[in-house]
Amino acid sequence: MKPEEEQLLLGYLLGALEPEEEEQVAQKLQSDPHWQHQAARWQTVLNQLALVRSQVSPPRGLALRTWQLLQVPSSAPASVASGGFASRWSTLDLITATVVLAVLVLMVVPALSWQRFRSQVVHCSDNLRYLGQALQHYHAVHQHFPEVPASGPLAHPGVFASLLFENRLLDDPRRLLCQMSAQRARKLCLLTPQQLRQLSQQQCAQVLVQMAGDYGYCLGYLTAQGQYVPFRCQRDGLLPLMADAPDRALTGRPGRNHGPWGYNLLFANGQVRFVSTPYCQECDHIFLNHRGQVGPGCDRRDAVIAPGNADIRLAAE
Amino acid sequence: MNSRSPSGRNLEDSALPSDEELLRRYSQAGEAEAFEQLIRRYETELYRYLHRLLGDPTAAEDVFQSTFLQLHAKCHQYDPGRRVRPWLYRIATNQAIDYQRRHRRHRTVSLEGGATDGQAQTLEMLPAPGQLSPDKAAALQEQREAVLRALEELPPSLRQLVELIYFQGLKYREAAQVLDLPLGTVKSRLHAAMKRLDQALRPPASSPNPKVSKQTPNP
Repeated sequence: MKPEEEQLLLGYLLGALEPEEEEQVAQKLQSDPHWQHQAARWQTVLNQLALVRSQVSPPRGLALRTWQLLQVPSSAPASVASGGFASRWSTLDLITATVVLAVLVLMVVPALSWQRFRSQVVHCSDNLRYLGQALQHYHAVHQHFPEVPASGPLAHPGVFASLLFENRLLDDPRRLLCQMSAQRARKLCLLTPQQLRQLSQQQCAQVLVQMAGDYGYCLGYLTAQGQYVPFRCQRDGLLPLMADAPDRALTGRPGRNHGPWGYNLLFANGQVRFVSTPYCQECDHIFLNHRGQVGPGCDRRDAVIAPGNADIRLAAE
Repeated sequence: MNSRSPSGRNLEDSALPSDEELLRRYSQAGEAEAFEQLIRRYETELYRYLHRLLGDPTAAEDVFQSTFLQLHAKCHQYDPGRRVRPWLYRIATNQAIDYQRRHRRHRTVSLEGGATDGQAQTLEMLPAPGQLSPDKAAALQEQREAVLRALEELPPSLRQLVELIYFQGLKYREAAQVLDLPLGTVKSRLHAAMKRLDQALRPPASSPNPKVSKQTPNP
């Protein structure tokens, strides 16, 4: 017999043929003795195979359990769920994991934020302390702190940095930045008052705003005779000299450097203190004078710290 | 209950809905009872197949359940012109292979070879030779062991076809669909497998060994 014929015969004996093939083989078996002989031979093998036919019964209730599993997919056993078609995680697991993660995030994020905030405050107060020493040196030489002119091209709080630079008391512009930023530090240049006067009024104003950095500097005050004079070191040394720049509008909005948490405040004696409000214990509003304006103080105790971008000329007039 | 004989042909009347009809009703009309009926229909047949394939009752049960979970998950992809039985066997075979891969057990019957607990259980479940005389019972047991050995010696690709076509009663065409093989390959492989079994199970020529017959036990 040809192999194809034997395959057909085997298929017939195994019931693996299609109906038309079965009919074809049945006819052949009736007429061909050779096919009958071969069929008997294969039947012997099949009879032997029948000895090991499995009679194992499924566990009782297998179909019912499978059906119940389909009704509640989330309760699938791990061995089944790991088949790639159902999640290994039940809903309860997911909720538990989400809650644990949320608690962890709630614990870690504030701690990290607080540490970041503290390091920024410390970095900022170090800068102010450095600038405080420079201002004291300036005072030692000139008997007053750097003067912010009431009018003219240099009538900006940022002029203090120019005067310190001119007197070689400030050489690193990064000291004027609360937050370390290499890009901003590169843009920041220090010019002497003489160099500033050579610029146009608009350019001069822009450079002075930049030179103030992230800080505000105290303006002068008006004497009883109406004369505008710079501050001098006072006996108690608790004159506010510099602080983190306030918001321009000063309408209760948070400061630029430390948000709603407060301001670093530099006193004339070199002390730096972090205050949560614009009012300090020893003084009134540090960003406004007694008239509630950003301008020269109304007397020798009325120090006003103005941000670099404050227009103080009008207020002085 | 199972309406099929082990060879896959219907035993009962044809009034029962076909597998295709049941799956279509479940996938299209959402008839839960239809799917439940399908599970019950294949409970014994598919469990036996998986038991032979995996050689472990727990594994067979797990894979049985995962097979129907897969069928449930994929039933929306069911093409009404497609036969359910080969598709179900294909899913079951793939699930069994995945199970073996995950559990790294190489103690299977059909794919990997080697004696297993499942085989032992299979033999235990066969008609007990208790009613036979001791000589005949021993001969029958010996014959069964010889058949099992012959099956074990088959390469996995041939063994798989014997499992599907002889033990599970699939047609050539269905086995080709299950294993994703050409029909001609299925026919030729099964033929080769049966020839090997024929050779292995053929009784040896009667040539008494004088050495053996004369051998005496050591004192």
